[in-house]
This record gives sequence, structure tokens and C-alpha cells, in this order.
Amino acid sequence: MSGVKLTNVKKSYGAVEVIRGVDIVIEEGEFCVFVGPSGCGKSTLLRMIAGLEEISAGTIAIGDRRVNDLDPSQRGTAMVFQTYALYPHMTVERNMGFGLLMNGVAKSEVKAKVDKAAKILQIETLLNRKPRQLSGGQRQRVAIGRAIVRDPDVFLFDEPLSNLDAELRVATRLEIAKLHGQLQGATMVYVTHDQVEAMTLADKIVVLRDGRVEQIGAPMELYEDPDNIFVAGFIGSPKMNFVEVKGDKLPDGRPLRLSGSQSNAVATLGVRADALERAGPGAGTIAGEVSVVERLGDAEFVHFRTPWGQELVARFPPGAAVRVRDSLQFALTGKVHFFDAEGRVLRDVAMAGNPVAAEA
Amino acid sequence: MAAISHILERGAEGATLGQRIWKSRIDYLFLIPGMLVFGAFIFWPMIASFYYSTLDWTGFGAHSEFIGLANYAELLNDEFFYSAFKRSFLFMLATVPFQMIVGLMLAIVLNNKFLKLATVFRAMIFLPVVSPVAVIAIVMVLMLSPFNGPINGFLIETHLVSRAVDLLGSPQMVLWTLAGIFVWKWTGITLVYWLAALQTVPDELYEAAKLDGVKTWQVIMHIVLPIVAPFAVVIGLISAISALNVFPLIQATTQGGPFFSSEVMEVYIFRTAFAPSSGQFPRLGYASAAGVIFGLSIMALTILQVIAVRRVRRKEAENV
Amino acid sequence: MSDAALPPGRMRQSIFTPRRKRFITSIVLAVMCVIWIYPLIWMIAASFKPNSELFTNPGMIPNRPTFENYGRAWTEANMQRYFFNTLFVTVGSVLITTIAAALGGYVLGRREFPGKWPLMGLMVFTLFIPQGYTIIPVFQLLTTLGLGQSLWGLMLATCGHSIVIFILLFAGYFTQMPRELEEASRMDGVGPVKTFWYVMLPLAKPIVVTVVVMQSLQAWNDFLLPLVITLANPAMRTLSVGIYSFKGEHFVDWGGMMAASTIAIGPIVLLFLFLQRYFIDGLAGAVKG
Repeated sequence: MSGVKLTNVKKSYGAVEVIRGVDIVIEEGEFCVFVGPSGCGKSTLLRMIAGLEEISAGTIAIGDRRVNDLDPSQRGTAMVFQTYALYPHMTVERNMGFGLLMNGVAKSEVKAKVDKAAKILQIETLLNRKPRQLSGGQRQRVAIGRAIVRDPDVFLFDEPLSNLDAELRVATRLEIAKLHGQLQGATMVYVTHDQVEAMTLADKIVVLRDGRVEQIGAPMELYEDPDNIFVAGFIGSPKMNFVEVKGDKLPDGRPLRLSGSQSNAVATLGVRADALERAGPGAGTIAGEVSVVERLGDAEFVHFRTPWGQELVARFPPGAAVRVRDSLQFALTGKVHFFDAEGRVLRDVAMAGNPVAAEA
Repeated sequence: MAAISHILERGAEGATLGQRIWKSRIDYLFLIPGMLVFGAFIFWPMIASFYYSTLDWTGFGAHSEFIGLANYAELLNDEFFYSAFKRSFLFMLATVPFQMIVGLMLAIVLNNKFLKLATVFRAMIFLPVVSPVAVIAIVMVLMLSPFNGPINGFLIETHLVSRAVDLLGSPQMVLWTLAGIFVWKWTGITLVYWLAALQTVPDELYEAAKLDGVKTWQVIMHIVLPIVAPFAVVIGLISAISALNVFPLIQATTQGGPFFSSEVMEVYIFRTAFAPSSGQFPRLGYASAAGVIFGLSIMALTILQVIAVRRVRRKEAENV
Repeated sequence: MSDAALPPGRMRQSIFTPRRKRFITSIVLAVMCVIWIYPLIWMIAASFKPNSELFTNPGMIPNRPTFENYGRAWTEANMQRYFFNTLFVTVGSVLITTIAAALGGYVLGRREFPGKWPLMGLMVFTLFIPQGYTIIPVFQLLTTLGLGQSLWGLMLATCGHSIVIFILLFAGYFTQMPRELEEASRMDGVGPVKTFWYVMLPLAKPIVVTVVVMQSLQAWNDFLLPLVITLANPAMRTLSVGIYSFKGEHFVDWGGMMAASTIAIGPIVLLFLFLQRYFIDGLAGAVKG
């Protein structure tokens, strides 16, 4: 078993650079998720680790071996494709054992490995079927089984849940989490555009944008302490509220009292829905008129429109008596994030006491 | 994203041409068998035809001499060449419209999805297509024979004619008889083309028309025909080009006779190159020149087809 | 009759219910189709009649059915030899064509390599050049190779008829296949040759069958090329050429000719009846493509 280390990895297609110098260290046995919007290069990066894409510059190491020029099959990796990529004309059993058989492994040994993997995934009864006789979830398991049979150091998952329906996606997500526990020490690299998948599965999340790493960290680290406005907005649901700040003032002219040496540089204020609390009339920092109330049972998301026309959202406890078109005041009670004009976080800035509510 | 990266992959790594060729060596290996066949029997003969057409060459193994365009000049004054050329196109004009109309009528009838035996009928109509031309030729020669042939027997018995007609032996009738045989042999394929075209008419249109109380023939005239009309161009040209490829049928049936009255272009080329009348040498260079001229004519026709197909496609794209 | 083109039913009642109308259409069509293939039926019937009866009995059923015609055709007229010549040429050219076209089509459809697009362009261009007129160079080439008088030469040249169309057919099919299948097998450490043989080729089975039937049809029925190659060597004749020369050599033996014709037509018609769908789909593709 071994970890994966990417050092200043670059990839370009002609003049177009799609991966612009990426450094990532994935520890042995870690579950690492690459997340980012489509086109950020996360799949390309995974395929570079797999060996399906060539590396234009930099180094990829698996364990202590540099694998840049190794054939995909010699890297000790196995991949689960988004479309599963099962061979349609082969049975499940042959699908799983195909690679080993073609490489001259004895039939009995292949059989034993396939049976073992099938047992882990509970697909023993499906071994004689063809892929088209399986449901989406079953195909997904076979694809994972094919990876397990190869007994790789590193498992690579390329958006494996995106072809499943919503319910199955949640169930399979749990299965993959369990599997990681079961396969002691297996390193897993997982690509997704869904931040919920990233948050629930990962030991470590790598947020990518435009071929660059935006931030690397544990899920809660990214949630609570994002490095920049992109990560802050990408991680967490509902999305963090951002309000433009100009010269210590909110767009409607209400003053903000900030402390810290960089407080002059603040351009944007970020606050999550659960950090906004309803305040008495005239006591809040932000005011707004309720436009939609989403009742989820355990919480209510109140969407409101500010005087300057922005839609923001606040999380209320269940049973809050809020109706559409109510005018509300909100206090910033939880953690508030500050970003400069480039979107970088300003960690030493803080709210200076409770802001005084006053009409401008 | 993956798709784009795949397209961009070509030449992305900045390797030299030599390196890229070496990297693809397995691909070239895969190509070898196909390219050998292609090169030897398609590409090379194409080039060689042009070269041979400039030679005075009296037979395989015989001495040949370069004479420039003299063969072409001679062709322009060759009665037989002109007649054969004319006959080829006449034959095409005689067969293609019939084949198209008969094929379309059969296709409209057989396209009925409630007609359980449609595939059986289609197979029966298709049988002459798969039958070897040599067999068709010999069966037709016997059936149409003026001496005890069953067709003449039938015609005489029903008093449609008083004396046996020699359909393949009369210079006036032979080309038309051959055209009839040709249409019979190949209509099956036109039928299949039309059936493919009819698949593009959505079922809903029939159903909507039925609910509106439109009569069947009106549906055909106003809905089906306008939709499949664009295909007529393609099907017509495919049929036209195959109608110029009649060598097997004519050689096997009449060998161009009687008195050259069914000698179409290909038979003329064959006779000039391989089976000279007694006392003459085979003239391979001369035959090649005739082949090149006729080949270019067909190529022009094919290019017309491509343009027509493009037009149809564009129209379809606009309609969608 | 034309009513049959539509799903049944009309608004107003008529004595012809849709069901009855279909029934009548079927009867009419059946009669037409029998007339359509009457020459072939007549051929088979005649092949079982003794020569004396051929001229006197115009009916379908022979009075004294006999296999003598087949015996004469098979041995005296050399149909036996021609049959195996044809079989050799057909099987050999089908094998070569299918393998060559599948390999070439796979590379052209799936892989990127220098020279791919010029090659594709050249092949497509040759589609517009009629091939029937290239018989002289083909024969000259075979003569130069020492194959001008051999069944091997005939077989090889027969492969050329539709090779471009077959390669493009395979290329088009392989292009649509998901790239992940190859990547999965690459991850599994399976080399290009094994990937082609175990993964890609089995998936292209519909095209393989289409190519096999189309090439069989072509090779079995081919006339010009075998005629030219066997002009000086009657022992090499195929069935088509054999029957053609039968007419010149044994013209009085109608029964024998019909038996020979039935022998020539039989295998290809059986192949057609079993694989009808592939024949027809393969040919219909010309309009759609």
C-alpha cells in the first residue's frame, strides 16, 4: 500500500494549459476527493495518475516510485469509470477477471480473487449475468469489483455516482465509505463535482479550479476556514451569503465596525445561513423582505431580499413563524468571513462588538 | 471535458513526427493487410489505367509503346465506341425510372406493419438480387427462347402472338428485353432502399391522418411522397450508377449481340481488351483509354450524387 | 391494394374491414411474388426433368423426376470442380476481407496516428472512381506476381471489390464505441492486440456479419474478374463462369444447365435466407449513410 504524491504537475494540450502546476500529497490509506466545477481539470488529473493522460511537466509518484513514464497497468492503480466501462459481451465474472486472465494468471487463482471481491460487494449471485441484465447500482458494484480484483495500491474513482438516481446515489455513497473501511489501508482518489459527496466521503478534499488547487484540507477545515471566496462559496449547502463591503459600509449604507490590521482591505463579507439570526426591529445588521421559505422539517431556510436587491438565505429552527413578505432584521451571530478584493481570506479581521443599528 | 481533451490529444506532447510514428507503430501494423488489398487492387489500378491508356499495347506480355493521346484521338472517330457509349446511357434511362417506380410501389405496400407476411414477400422479391447473374442469364435465355421456350409457349397458347418472338435475338428488341431482365433482377434492392426511406415517416402522421378521415391514397400523395421525395435523388443516382454496371448480365446473355446491338460500354471494353474478333490483336491501351473516358463520366455522375445528398442532408437539417 | 400502406381502419363502415383488406392484399401480393420468382421456380423444376420432357411438359411438376441432370452437371460439366473453386475463392476472400477490414477500421476509427486523415481522404476519394474499368491493371498486376492463372490470384483480387466500404463500415462502428472500454482494458494491462481481439471485435459482431454476407454475395456471384482470369485456364473457373461456358459447350443439354444453375444458386440463397436481416440492413445502409 502506498500514497500518491504530485509535484508541480502540469498538462497542456498544445498552447492550452489545463493543469497549471499542482502539488498534492495523498497519504497512504487516505480517502482523497478532488472536487470542483466542470472543466476544472479534476478528471484530467485523475487520468494522469492512472496513466491515461500523459504528464506535460512535473512528477507523479505512487509509493516511492516515479510513475510518469510507467504504463497504466504497472502503476498499481485501478479505476472505476463514470460509465462503468463494463465489457458488454462478457459475464460479470469474466469482466472482473479479464485483466488477470489476459496477463496469464492461473484460472483457479483468478476465480478465487473474483469470488472474494464478489463476496465483499455482495454480488455473488450475479456472477453469470451480462452487464445489460444488471441495474445501474449493480453495474456500479461490478465496476468496483473489477478494481478490487486487481488488488491495487490506489483506487481511482471518476465520478462513479453521477449515472445513478438520487436515492441510489446516497446508498452507494455509504457503500463506498464502508468499503474504504473494509479495505484496510487502500488509498482512494475520488473525483466529483458534488460537494456533498466530497464532504461525506473524504478524509481530505482538494478543491480545484481552472487547473489550479484552491485549497487542500479536511472537510470541516474547508467548511469553517476557507482560504478564499471560491472555496467558501463552493463548499457548504446552502451556498454561503456574500455581501459586498465598501469602506466599512454595507451596500445600503449601514456601517460595519471591523477590527484588525487588514480591515481596510475588506471587499466582501461572507456569512453562512446558520450564522444569521433574527434580530428585533432595528437591532440587526442586515434587513430584508422574505421571498421564499423552504421547510425541510429539521430546519427552515428563509430566503430574503435585501434593500439593495440581493437574495440571501438564513437558517431558522423549525416552526419559525415566518411568512413570505415579512420584513425581518438579521444579526451576524456566527462566524463571519472576510475577503479582500482578490477573494483571499483576511483571517485577522473580525467584527468589533455588536454593530450599532442606525439608519444612515 | 474528456471529449475535448481527446480531440486535442493529437500532437499535443510536442514529440517529433518520427517519435509519433514510432509510437503508433502498432497502428500501422494493424493497417497493413487492409492497405495491401487497397493499394494493389484499388489504388494502383486506378493510377495504372491512366498510364496504360497512353500505350500501344497488343496483349499481356507483348511489347508496348508510348503513343501519348493517340488512343483518345482514335476513340473520337470510333463508331463502335460512340454506339456503345450511347447504349450504356440509353440502358440507364430505360431501367432506372421503372426500377424506382416499381420499387416504391412495392415498398409502400410492404411498409404496412400489420402485414404479417411482409418480410416473406420482401425476401421473395429480393431473391433475384442475390442470384448469380450468370444463372439469371442462362435461365432467361432458355425461358425466352423462340424454340419451345415457356414464355413463347404461353404467349402463343393465349393467342397474344401468332408466331414465336425472339426477344433476345432481335436487334430491335434485345436491349429492351435486357432492360426488363435488369429491372427484374435489381428491383429488390431499390425496394429495400425505399423501405429504409419510408422508415423516416413517423407513425404519428399516419395516425393523425386516419383520425382526420383522410383517404389512403391522399395520405400517400400528400404526406408520404413529399417526405420520401428527397430520397428519390439518392436512390435514383445509386440505381443509375449500378445500371451502368451491366457487363455480367449482357455478356452472359447476349455477349453484346446480335450484331453488336446490345454492346454497351463495358462489353465493348472487354471485347477490345480480351476477346478480339478474329484476325485482330487485343488492344489493351485502347481499351484502357475507353475505360478512362467512361470512368470519368461515371465519376461526374457520382459527384452529382454527392452534391444531391448534401442538398438532401441540408434540407433535413433545416426541417429538424 | 394501396390501402394496405396504412394502419387499418377508416371512419366510415365499409364491407371491407381492415382485416379483410389485409387478407386480400396478402393474397394479391402472394400471387405477384410467385410470378416474380417464377423463373427461379421454373429453373428448379426443369433441373429435375429429363431433357426429352423439357420441351413437351410445360407444367411445373416433372412426370418422371430424375437426378440425372445433376449427375451430368456435377461430373461431366465439371460443376464439382467449379463449385469447390468458388467455395475456395469465397471463403478465402471473406476471411481476408473481414480480418483486414476489421483491423484497418479499428485503427482508423479509434486511434490517432500521423497520416490518418490523408489516408481516410484517399480511401473516400476512390469510392467515387468506378472499379469495373480497372480490370486490365488488376490482371496485369496478378500476371506480374505470377498469380494471373491461379485461384489464389482470383481470391486476392476478389478481396478488393468492396474493401474500402467495409473498412469505413468498421471505422464508423468503432468510432461510436465508448473510449472507456479501451481504457479499462489498458488499466487491466491488456495489450492492443488482445484488446482488439477480445473486447473490440466481439462487440463489432453486427458489422462482422454484414461484411461476411456482403463479401460472400460478391465473391460467389462475381463474373468479370473470374472470366478474365480463367480465359486461358478453364480448370480455374468458378460456377458463374462455368455456367456461362456451359451454354457454349453443351447447348443442347437444358436439363444439365438448369441443374448446374441450381447448384450455383443454392448456397448463396440459403445464406441469404438465414441471414436476411444482415443482407438487407447492410444494403439499406447505403441510403441512410
